[in-house]
Amino acid sequence: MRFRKISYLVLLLTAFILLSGCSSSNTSTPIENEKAPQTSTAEAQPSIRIGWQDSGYPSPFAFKSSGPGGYLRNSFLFDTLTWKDGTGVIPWLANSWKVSEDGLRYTFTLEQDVKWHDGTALSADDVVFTYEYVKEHPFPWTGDISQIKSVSKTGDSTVEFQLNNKYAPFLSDLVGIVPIIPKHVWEKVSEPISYRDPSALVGTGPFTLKQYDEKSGQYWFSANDNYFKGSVNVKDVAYMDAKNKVLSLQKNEINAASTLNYREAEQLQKEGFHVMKSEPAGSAVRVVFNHSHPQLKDKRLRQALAYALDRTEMASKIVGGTPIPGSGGIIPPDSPWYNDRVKTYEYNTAKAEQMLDELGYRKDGNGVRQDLKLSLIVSSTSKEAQMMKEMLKKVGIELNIQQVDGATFTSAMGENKYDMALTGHIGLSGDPDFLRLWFLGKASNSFAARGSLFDHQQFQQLALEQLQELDTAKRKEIVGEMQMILSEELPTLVLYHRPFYFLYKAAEFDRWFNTYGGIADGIPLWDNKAAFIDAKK
Amino acid sequence: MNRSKKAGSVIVACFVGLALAGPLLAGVEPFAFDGERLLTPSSVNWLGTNALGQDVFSQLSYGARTTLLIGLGVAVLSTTLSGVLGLMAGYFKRLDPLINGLANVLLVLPSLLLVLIVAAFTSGGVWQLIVTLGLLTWPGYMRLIRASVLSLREREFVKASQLFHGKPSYILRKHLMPFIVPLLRTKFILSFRQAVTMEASLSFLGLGDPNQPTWGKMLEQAFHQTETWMTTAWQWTIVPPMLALLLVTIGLALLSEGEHQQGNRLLRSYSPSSRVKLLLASSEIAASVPCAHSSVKAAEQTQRTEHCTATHAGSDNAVVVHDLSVVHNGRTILQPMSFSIAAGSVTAIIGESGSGKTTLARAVYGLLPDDVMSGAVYIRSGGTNGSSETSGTSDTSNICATNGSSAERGINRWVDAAFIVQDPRLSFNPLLTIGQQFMEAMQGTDASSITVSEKRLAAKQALREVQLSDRLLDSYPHELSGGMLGRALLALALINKPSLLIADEPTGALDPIVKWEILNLLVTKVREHGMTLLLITHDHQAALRVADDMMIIKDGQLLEHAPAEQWLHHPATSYSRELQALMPSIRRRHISEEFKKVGFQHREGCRNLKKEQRNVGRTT
Amino acid sequence: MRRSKHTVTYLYVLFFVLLLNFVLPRLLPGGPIDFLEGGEDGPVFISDAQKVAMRDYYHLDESAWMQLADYVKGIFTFDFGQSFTYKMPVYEVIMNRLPWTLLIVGVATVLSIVIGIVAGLLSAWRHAGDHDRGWFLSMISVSTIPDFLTGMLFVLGFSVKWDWFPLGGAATPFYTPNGWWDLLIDVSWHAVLPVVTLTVANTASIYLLMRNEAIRVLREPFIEFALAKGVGSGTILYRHVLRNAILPIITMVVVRLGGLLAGSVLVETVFSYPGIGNLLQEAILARDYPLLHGLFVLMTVFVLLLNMAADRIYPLLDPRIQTGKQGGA
Repeated sequence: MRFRKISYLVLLLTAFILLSGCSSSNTSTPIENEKAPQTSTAEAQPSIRIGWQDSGYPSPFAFKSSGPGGYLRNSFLFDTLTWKDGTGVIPWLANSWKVSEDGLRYTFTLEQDVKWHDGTALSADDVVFTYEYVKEHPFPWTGDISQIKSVSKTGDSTVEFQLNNKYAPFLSDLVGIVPIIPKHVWEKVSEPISYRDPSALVGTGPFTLKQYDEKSGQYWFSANDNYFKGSVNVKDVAYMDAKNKVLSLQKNEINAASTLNYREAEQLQKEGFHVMKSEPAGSAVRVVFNHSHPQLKDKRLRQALAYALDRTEMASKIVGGTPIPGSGGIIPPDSPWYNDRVKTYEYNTAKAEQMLDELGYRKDGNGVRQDLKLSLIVSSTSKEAQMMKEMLKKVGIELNIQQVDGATFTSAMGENKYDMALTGHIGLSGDPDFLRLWFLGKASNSFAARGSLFDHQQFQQLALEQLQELDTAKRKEIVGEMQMILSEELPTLVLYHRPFYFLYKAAEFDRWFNTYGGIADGIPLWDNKAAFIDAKK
Repeated sequence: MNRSKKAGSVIVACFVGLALAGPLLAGVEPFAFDGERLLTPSSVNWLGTNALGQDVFSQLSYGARTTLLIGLGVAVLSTTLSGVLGLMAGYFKRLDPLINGLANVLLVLPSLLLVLIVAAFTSGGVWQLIVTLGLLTWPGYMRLIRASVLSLREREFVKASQLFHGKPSYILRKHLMPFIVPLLRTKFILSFRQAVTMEASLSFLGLGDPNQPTWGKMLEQAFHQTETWMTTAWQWTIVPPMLALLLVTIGLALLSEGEHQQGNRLLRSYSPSSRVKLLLASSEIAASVPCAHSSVKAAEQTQRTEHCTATHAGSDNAVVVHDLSVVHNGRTILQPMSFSIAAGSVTAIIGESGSGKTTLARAVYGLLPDDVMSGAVYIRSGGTNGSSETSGTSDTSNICATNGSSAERGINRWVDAAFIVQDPRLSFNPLLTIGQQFMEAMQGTDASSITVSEKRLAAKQALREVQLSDRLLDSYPHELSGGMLGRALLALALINKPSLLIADEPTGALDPIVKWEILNLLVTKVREHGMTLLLITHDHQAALRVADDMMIIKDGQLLEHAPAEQWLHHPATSYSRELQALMPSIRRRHISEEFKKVGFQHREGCRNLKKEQRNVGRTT
Repeated sequence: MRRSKHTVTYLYVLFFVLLLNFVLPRLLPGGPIDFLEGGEDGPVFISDAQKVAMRDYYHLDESAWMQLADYVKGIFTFDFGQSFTYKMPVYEVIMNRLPWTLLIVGVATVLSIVIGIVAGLLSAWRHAGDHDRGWFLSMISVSTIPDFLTGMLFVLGFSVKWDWFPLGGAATPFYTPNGWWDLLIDVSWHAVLPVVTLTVANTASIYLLMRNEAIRVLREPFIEFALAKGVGSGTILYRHVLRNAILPIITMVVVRLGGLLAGSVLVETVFSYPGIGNLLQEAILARDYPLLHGLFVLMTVFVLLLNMAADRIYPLLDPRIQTGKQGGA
């Protein structure tokens, strides 16, 4: 009897502990609910709350370079000479520029009355200083500084850039990326990466940073009332880390987010969210072939693999929406640089089998091509890899999936210890110069099979040619040629292109737009500061 | 095979069956994605399809192979390592720092890092995962087993075995393993569960072998699919692998539970049995016994009972046992029996081990659960304030009339009667001082007014009475010798002056010299305080030496209950004659002589007591 | 003499682990720069100039011995340098998260110990009965579900469906509490679900061990003797059973606590809770050596201190250890 009492007591106590947790929350929920309406109307909470993960301290040298978040956060605080809107490159800190006949000299005229956040006026010295400073302390994003021979001040508000060679993407991918930093702050700083003084965030941008919480990835930007370009049409913009974006959107913890999954977008659209699709798609999943692999170095095998993969099915099963099977020429079909004559490699197992047979990989009794066993290295759980395995099984190829972590993945690629590698990333919608960077081993990047050149004479020549061609129409032709070569040779096979979908509430803010070719060097997202500015003129 | 074990093996067998036969039934490859996405369960896709259009049933059955392999593989490896290394670390002093140090290192290093490193240097696959996880998860239970062995190593039976040059491997296996096995069982279930969840967690982090389907991966993949939570898809993508995981773990747990759980369910009642009651007015009992239901028992037995009561006709009874029987799991442990024991007498219950004499003693003391016991036991109330209590509660009504009414009280343990068992060294809680254990026993007396210091005083008094220093109150049991503990136990038994003392082989575990001493002291004290002693023993000589009455128990039957002298010279059953024949004849004669002497002495009273006490005192 | 021997053993372990802390991360393939290049969804082109600058900045071009020297110096000064990923002093990065981890892990540990012990005792008391089997099976079942799933179920139920608790995070974002009381409510409100999830995941092992030990102790003769003495059930359970069964529990708790500090990764992920677990995982994946060093030293010291504390506690709980043999550890 006594025991029973005790046991009930204990049960009660346990229940009490659990319930007290709940009830305390019950008492606190009303408080929260009371606050919620207040906050959402204006006062305490920022009106635009976008879901993203932590991207580091947004100073020009400390933001995280793994992912576009860091650069975008930084672009809210700092400005560049040019910027992009829905139509293409537009004047920003520089209100106009002139190009010399030989295309080697650019002269920029700066906006008048631009003030740093601390009140100091922007001058041509700051621009000159910036480009000298980043030569010594590299800016952690792109922007090929080595193209610049010299930067000099030619007047109070004019700056002249001298280039080594003609450089077609100069306006968009160089001066459109590197932020101008205040000389009076940084000239004293020798360790810019660890520099944490509030002055590290002094820029000319449309926002200032009100709060940053590194552990929860929260950024709270408030409008800069004295912005030179016009008035900022929102009071503040916030970012926060939301592990499950859909649930956070549904619970109104955030009110804007981007996703790659069409079905999520579809669902939330039904729930009253607006959906905007990124155009051009910008992001892709692709297979990198190891060109020194004894079997894969034969382009016929690579082509056979392309025929054997039902990439439309893959896209529709994994991301949904209208599938965009990968373009043979890498550049997505909705990009202005796309060449519609590239080989597409429609799904055709018969053709694939025929090619494999011709290559001498015979099927054994079980329908397996014993002398063709390939492995695919992936850096995260990948549905694409799983589907590839099954698709290749159908044509008799055994595929072994190797799952490793990111750094192992990169080092395996660097050391050429792989057959095929699977990777998904953005950056395909920007300036087509990325093709040169990928395949000429100029800038290294694991996705481009670091260090290993795409050994194709004509392609290399064309790649250098397009770089120096300042006439867009002519350049497009050259880039089209390059795509033809790529689609024939298949140094890499794009499985499918995937658009981002931006989910937002039009009632809160409705000025979002797709940036032409992606923000800066092709970021297919919507965090373009130009959306928040009512231009003066 | 008991019920839970059966259930456990059925569940496990089902899943092994699924692992073996499922893939044949499924017909579809686990990763084939030919189906539409997220189909509801149908006759084609028995459990529907997942977000890629893969057949859930196929994945579940193929996954059963890998999951069971990983779970069982890791569990076996890790449990074996824990057991072997724990035994070695605990037993061999030289290996201890090495093994323990290694365990510490493994406990500190994050397993993710080690998994990554191993993965980097091997090809990565199911076997490698099993080995890695197995090697990573042994330290926790190794520690427990080691600690267990360290303390067991000091126990007598291990020491004895070492003394006789038992090989370490033999000692480890025979003496230590039985203590470790329950721990290993728990470890096995925990390891299985841990391995399966760790495998799932690794795929959660984007690691692991993606070429094999597992339940963990199914969960992980469904988890990352937003539709799982936004639609009803969770019903067939999350529930089946989760249930499978749950059931297998439960099945294994039930299987491993089995043995030590059933069969020898401890026959023990935590509160005094309601069938053991206080004897009210002593005069009424003699009258009450015949009035009890006489139909149940065999005629022979009734006869004997009457005979017994007759032997002590006129004297008060301390215990009246009425139609007592014990049946457990359909097995009769004690046949119905009735008897009474005269107050102030010493009764020896003898019989072979397993004859039911201990059960009888426990039943009389009310240690058995009510549901296994029938009949009734009445015990005269005792204790220092016992007489006043009894007079307070007793009324003049007949026991038979008040049977079951609220007027009857259960016994107050340790006050009305006390019960001491075999080994004094095992009777004391090793973590409490002797004093604390004395205090506990005094809480039973009704007066809560007794202060702690008064209790202490009483405890000291009791210790002195058995020639022990009162400083022992602050000692722990392990600091005392067996003989001292025996005395302390005796003092503890006497502390509340119960009317009845039941002693179940009180000296069984002591060496011969100490044994006699303690037994003498016991009997002396009992006589001195006018208590009744029920002595359970298989030592017939000792029994004959000290007892007034003998009770012979065989196969749960009370064969004989007679005065000692009468039993010795005129045994009523052939079994008794057999028993006596086993006693060496010389001893027998000697005892018979001695018996008269001792018997005389006891009847003389306590004249010689002081002298004897002094003798005993010298030997402590 | 014994104590000093113990200390020496601990020093050995400490030394060895600290050495491993330096070596093991460097055994992993790839370095911090590889991680940056391998990052998902980034159009990351790292130019050679940038690489050189990074190597220089993080002292990656120094010889292993120099790095080791820096590390050893760091152990004594608690200054492990700048985290590669956070570009902040390691000390600050860790300190930003440690309190949160300690909060949820601490509360969950206490809860699971209390629940595990009480349930284990009661279960053993009722051993071989339906009560016991009920407890046993429900404990096993609950703990078998991977914690990311339990966490997700809690989120879906208590946060999405009923809106009692927030989705995640450690505090309401962009919310300035009015005074400590508001802050306390806000923080505990956010901690409830992670704590419950962790508790659910960790109670079973303590329960099973407690039950096991209690069943063993209940079979000891002294329990029967205590019963015979008329000691009440509460006292039996508390004074006799619990005290005799607690040593292994303490050993187990010490073992688990060390792991818990790092092992709550999935719970932290599901609830977007800032914590050491996530940090450690990130640091390993990003090959953030300085951060790894800091975390390792923290965890090593934590675990060894716990062990030493346990060594001090054992004799208090079991007098036989003091005079007789070494017990647990």
